[in-house]
Amino acid sequence: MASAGSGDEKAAAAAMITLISSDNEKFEVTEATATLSQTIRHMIEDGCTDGGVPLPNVTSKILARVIEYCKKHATAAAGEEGSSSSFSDAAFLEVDRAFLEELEEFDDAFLEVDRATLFDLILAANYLDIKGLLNLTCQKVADSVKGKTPEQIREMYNIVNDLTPEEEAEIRRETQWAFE
Amino acid sequence: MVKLRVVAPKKLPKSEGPARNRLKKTKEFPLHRLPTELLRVIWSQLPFKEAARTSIVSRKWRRLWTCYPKLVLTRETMLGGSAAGDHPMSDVATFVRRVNSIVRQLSSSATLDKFEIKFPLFRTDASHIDRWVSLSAASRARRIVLDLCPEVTTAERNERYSFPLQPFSGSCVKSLCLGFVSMNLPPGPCGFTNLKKLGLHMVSITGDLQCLLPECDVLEWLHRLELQAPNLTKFEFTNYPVTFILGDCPNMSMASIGLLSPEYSFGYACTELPAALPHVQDSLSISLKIRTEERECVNGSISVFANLRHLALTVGIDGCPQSGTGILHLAHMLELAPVLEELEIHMYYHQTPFYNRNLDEIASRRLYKHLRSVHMTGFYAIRGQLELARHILRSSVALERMIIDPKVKVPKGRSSRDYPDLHYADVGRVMARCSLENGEFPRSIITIL
Repeated sequence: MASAGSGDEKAAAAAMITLISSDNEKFEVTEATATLSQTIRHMIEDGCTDGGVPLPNVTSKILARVIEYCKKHATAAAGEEGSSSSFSDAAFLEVDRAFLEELEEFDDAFLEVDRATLFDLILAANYLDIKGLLNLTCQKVADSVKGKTPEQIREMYNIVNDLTPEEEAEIRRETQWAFE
Repeated sequence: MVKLRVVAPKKLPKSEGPARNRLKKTKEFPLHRLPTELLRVIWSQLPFKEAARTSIVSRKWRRLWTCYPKLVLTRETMLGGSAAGDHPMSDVATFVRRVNSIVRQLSSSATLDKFEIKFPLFRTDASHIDRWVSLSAASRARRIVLDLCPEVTTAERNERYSFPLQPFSGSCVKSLCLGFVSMNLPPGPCGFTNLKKLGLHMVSITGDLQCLLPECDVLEWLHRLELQAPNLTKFEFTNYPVTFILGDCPNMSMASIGLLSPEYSFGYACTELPAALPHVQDSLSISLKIRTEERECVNGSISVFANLRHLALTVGIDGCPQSGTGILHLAHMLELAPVLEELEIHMYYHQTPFYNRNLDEIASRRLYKHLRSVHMTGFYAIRGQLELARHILRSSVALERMIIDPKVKVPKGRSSRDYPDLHYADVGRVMARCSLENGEFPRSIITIL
């Protein structure tokens, strides 16, 4: 099949990667999308992606979300390269800015998930080594803690306070500046 | 204190009983099941103070806090941004005590990303600062800020903390910013091979000469700064003029030089700076002072800014308004930058302007072939300013625009005085029109604001 095709077709066919989720669902993605994951990038470089990439740690539900993120950000990365190499005039900067805003909106909407999904996304982003997604999801958790009292944080994440009152008083004394 | 005693005992029954029951009910985000390195990623995205506050949540969170990678120890974080000067002595004591406490809490194996201390401290506090500095070196921090600059000028008499270089030899520091410290440079170059950004503000560079003549202030500018930093791309330096040699930095793109001494700084800028920064490409900012009586700079400099495209000068003008043509000699900087495309000159002047129709010219030695844009502010149209503007208009073959702004646009903090701006600006505008828009030069490129 590949040998019968023209050079272009071959390149296009070669640039598709199959990802296989833990529940055995197959996802076809472009190489540009897949290589946002450093883990997959290394597998491609090592030439071990024939027959698909099994991802035993990622369910199809989560993998679909991860791919959605990668697709959007892969186009963003391609756009950035194009604009910095050949265009720098105001019109293009304007387009860039609009695109960045769109990307931000996408990210915000992307994070509108329940906490269980967010947790799985963090684990998947870590396993697949997708820096942007990991930062995005971790930031979301960090933001949820911001401005909260210790009691509120414990409640939110079901954390048992295993500090003795003495220890707690000592911490408060040592980090008094943080509570001012 | 009272509040503490009330709150602490109350918490025990609460967390023992109901919290455990809830744990079974909602397991939707088992934060504690995340691997520790992921928890650290989350932590590192909390602001410094916020991260410290969460150390009280549980034992695990407490351990996380001791590995927090960005220490920002400033008046803002440590003293709640209380204004400087209310209780200077107790502020210092509190700051030192709190920083010491944090340093003690830090895990010995923690790798820091950033270590920042910004607080006025002096040699008398060296025993503490030494400990912090060796921690920053041991923690392999990549960005280090140690800015001890005084908040009030009277404190500048204090002796500077001596910054030790030994802990950093061959280190991974990428960005180093020092303020109000002294450096005792060992003979021979010191190696910051990974350094990309270096900022020195009021740093006194001492050497053997200091040992011989410890009381001699003027030695400040005789001393040498010699660094080998081949990957340096940005360089900031505020000091009395000192000789500095940066080795070979072919990738230097931006440099910013502030010259504190009112004397000598123009000659220094013309002779020493091109030799020290021959590679700077994208942008060079120099802040200096000149006198209207300034004599022409001896054209003995061999080095030039061969690749420089953008030059921004902040110029404090001093001296008798009627005499001399010191300002005109700023044109010499253009001769030193043969491919310069954009020039900004921001001037400020404390004297009452004096207007004079007898303008000097310098015999133009060369045409500026690449200069496209000139922006001058603080243009009161005093003699030297008009001479300089006319000289540039005559000698720049590719000039597309010259913007003349009579208003003073010097960044705040550069000079504490207010300028009697409005009136002089009005007169300056009229004088500039008379002298520059009289048909001698193409009107289309001149804009007088």
